[in-house]
Amino acid sequence: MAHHAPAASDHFDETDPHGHSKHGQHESHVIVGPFILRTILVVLLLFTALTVGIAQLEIAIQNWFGIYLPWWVNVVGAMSIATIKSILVMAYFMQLKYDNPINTVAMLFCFFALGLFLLFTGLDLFTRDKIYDYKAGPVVAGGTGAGVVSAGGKPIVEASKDRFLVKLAEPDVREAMITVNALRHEVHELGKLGTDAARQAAAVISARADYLSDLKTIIVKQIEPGELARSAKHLRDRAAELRAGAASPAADLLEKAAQHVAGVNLAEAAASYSIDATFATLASFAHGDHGQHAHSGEAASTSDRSRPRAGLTDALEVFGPAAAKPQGGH
Amino acid sequence: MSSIPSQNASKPLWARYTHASHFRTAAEEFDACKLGFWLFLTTEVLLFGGIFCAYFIFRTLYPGAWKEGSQLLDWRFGGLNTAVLLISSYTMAASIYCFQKGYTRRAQWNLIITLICGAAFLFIKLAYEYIPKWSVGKRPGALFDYPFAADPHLPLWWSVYYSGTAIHAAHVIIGMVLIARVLYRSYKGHYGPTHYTMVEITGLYWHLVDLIWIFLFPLLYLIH
Repeated sequence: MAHHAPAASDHFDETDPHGHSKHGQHESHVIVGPFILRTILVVLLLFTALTVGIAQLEIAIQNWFGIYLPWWVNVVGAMSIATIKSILVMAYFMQLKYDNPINTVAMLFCFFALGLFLLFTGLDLFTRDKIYDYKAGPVVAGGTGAGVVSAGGKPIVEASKDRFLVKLAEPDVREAMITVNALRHEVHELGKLGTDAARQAAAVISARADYLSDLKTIIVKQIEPGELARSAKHLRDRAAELRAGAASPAADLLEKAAQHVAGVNLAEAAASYSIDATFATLASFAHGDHGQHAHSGEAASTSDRSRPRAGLTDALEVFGPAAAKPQGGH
Repeated sequence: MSSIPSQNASKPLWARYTHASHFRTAAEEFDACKLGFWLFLTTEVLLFGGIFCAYFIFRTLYPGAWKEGSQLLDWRFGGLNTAVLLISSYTMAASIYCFQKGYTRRAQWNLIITLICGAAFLFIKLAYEYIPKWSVGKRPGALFDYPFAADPHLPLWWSVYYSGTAIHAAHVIIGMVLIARVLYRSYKGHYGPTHYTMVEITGLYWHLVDLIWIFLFPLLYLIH
């Protein structure tokens, strides 16, 4: 068999995939060194930071100056950076730059095919109203999942909201929401004092209210009866901890708040309990307006759809001490 | 492979490797393997192309849902995962370099770091994104059960989000299995300066995973 030639060093070596360069016969395979690879990595990370920065800048411009850039600015910026990044990955990490050009041709043809795919889809989507106006937009108003059994003929988004409103009317959940109102009221009252001890106590109470307002607490961890008493006990326990840490003024305030919470007349509060106001408060909480809404179920605006800031802390809580096993929703 | 010369018996496996008999040279075999794999990668790009096209269509039809949906994602997790994948792509490429130069130990460590990065990616995805979102009803299509949605087409956003990221995550898992196999075989001495085709092919697959994420990240997390 001819292909078992001995591997003589200055001789054509057919068993070596990149060894022929000595004679200039086969240069297609080059070793890409660490310097190039590291440089490319740094450039890729910088481009990632840049694309994030541009997106954040757009939000900042909206929030600070009220200027809304046209939608395509963000799209074109992010997609251009992604294209540059992908070219770098393919050229250097995947070594297309040094490879047999046929590989690049195969990939370019693939992108051409993908381009055709998107082009003809776009031709359809964007020209539907060119001859008949009524063909603008979706041909059939759909995509809301209204035909799904669990949605009962409504858009599935509305069905989900309805199911949650039923949940909010359950006595145990109602007591928990009344507790939240009582806790927020205590925070509000403490805010008037303005002392450091008051702030310390308010932070503890706020944390409990936030925990109970969290959608995860309400629908994943099952709320048990007697939340007023449990929250009051929680505050007393925290007060005892603070006292052990020699922060007794805050502990005193906490114990007073615990007394107030424990002393809430449940029947009276239930009579004035508003499901809609509670829903609005929870919705604004879910959208990241922590502590922005006032106490006693005052409906906070849900129109503020700024970026949720709760994401990181919410997510970390999954593994936090307060975490319970997910019970598969409801 | 049946006729390995006897004087080679003491050499490591990679040095004893000879190309298959239907190739004239090892270089030809190597190029053929790579071309075959690039052709496979084109089908992978087209697979994700379908998802990108679905994104394009639904974004055009229901811009409100897409705006609302992207605001329900936290770019910090997406950005962190982008960095993790880019670093893993670097270590994968570095591992190939080390095999080419015969630095087997360093190559193996690079592969191990690549595996760790892959696992970190999946952990971040699962622990900080999938589980917290899924548990509060941010689910695809008919499974959707999030009470605070404003746009009636939001379930479609989650359908595209989950299909895109889950098929990508499946590729991460497959890539990790391939890398683990390469690592295992490298301890047996299969790869060295004259034979590393499988390492290079596995690397191409891993870089494709990175490539797809480079597009998924801005589309899902940044554009709104």
